[in-house]
Amino acid sequence: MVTPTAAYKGALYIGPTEIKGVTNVRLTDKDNTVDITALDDTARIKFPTIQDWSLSFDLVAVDRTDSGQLALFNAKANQTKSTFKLTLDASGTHYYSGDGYVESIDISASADDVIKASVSVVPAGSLTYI
Amino acid sequence: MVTPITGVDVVIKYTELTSTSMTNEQMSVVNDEFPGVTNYTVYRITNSLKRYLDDSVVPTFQKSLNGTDWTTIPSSDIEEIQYPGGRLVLKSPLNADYYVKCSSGKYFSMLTDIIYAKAIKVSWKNDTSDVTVFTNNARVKYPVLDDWSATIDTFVAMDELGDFPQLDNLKALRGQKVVVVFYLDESNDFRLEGYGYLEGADINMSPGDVIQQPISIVGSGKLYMRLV
Repeated sequence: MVTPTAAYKGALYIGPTEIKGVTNVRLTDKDNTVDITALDDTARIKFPTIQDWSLSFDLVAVDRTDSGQLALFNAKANQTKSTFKLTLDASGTHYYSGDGYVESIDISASADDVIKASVSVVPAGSLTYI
Repeated sequence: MVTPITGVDVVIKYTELTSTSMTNEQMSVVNDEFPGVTNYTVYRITNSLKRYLDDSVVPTFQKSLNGTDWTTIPSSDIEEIQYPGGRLVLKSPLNADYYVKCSSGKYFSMLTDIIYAKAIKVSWKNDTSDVTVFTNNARVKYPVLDDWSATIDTFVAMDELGDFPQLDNLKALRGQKVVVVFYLDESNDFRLEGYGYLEGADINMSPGDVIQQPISIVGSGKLYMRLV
């Protein structure tokens, strides 16, 4: 029997500041692999080269008063490299951390909804898990 | 817990490109807009009606300690002129007691609402390039170009004369560079603004629905997010 971790215990930070209103976090941590299958192989063989990761998430509501969201918008506007940290527990003991750039912020609004956003972060170095 | 903004306060505006000359327009400092931005480096034209500058004319700026004796701010001291928004970004901060003005330039005066809009999606992004090199053990990307685009969902409405004023307006704008302002919260001046082109304004008709007109806009230059 495992003990699942509820998502509400986690948080996403830019630098030291928590980004509020985050949902649907998708952190992809993978190794880039290349196909090195040769003529004398009877099965496909792949080989890992470098680590490759990406991060995307949604904002349930754009909040111009939240310092984390403002830091995110500022990082996008100024193309600033930022440290993104995704904590998995309330104490922040276990987390993923990596430097990256905000690649895009898609802002959507409609007459009967709140203003939302989707954010994409691309890597500028390795992702670590503590 | 976040404080959401609803669609009630969303307004989309554009301005046509017929510009007016201006001289000695007072500017005021913009401090504390975003964390990490140095105070007394960003100034904007005080008169909000003159903040959308014509980028075909390079404006000039002056500074003064007493409001009487003015010296031109050399281009070497300027980090960026933000034409949409009428802002001057300096490389180094001025002293707090400096006055700054836009001594010459041109601006677009008329802002028009895009009416009957019910939804927008603004894609505000950086084009990134893969700069991973030998000895890197993880992928490294680097931002190169600002890029943006937007779609606006509108519906077609007839005025009391039986005309379609927005269709006429949009038709006139095809192929014209326009300043577009997306107010996410007009009451608090929270907005995105930039230059762009009207790429498309389609007409969709189906039984049981009103006539829809999705508008697509492509960016031409940076899109700026403003909090003030």
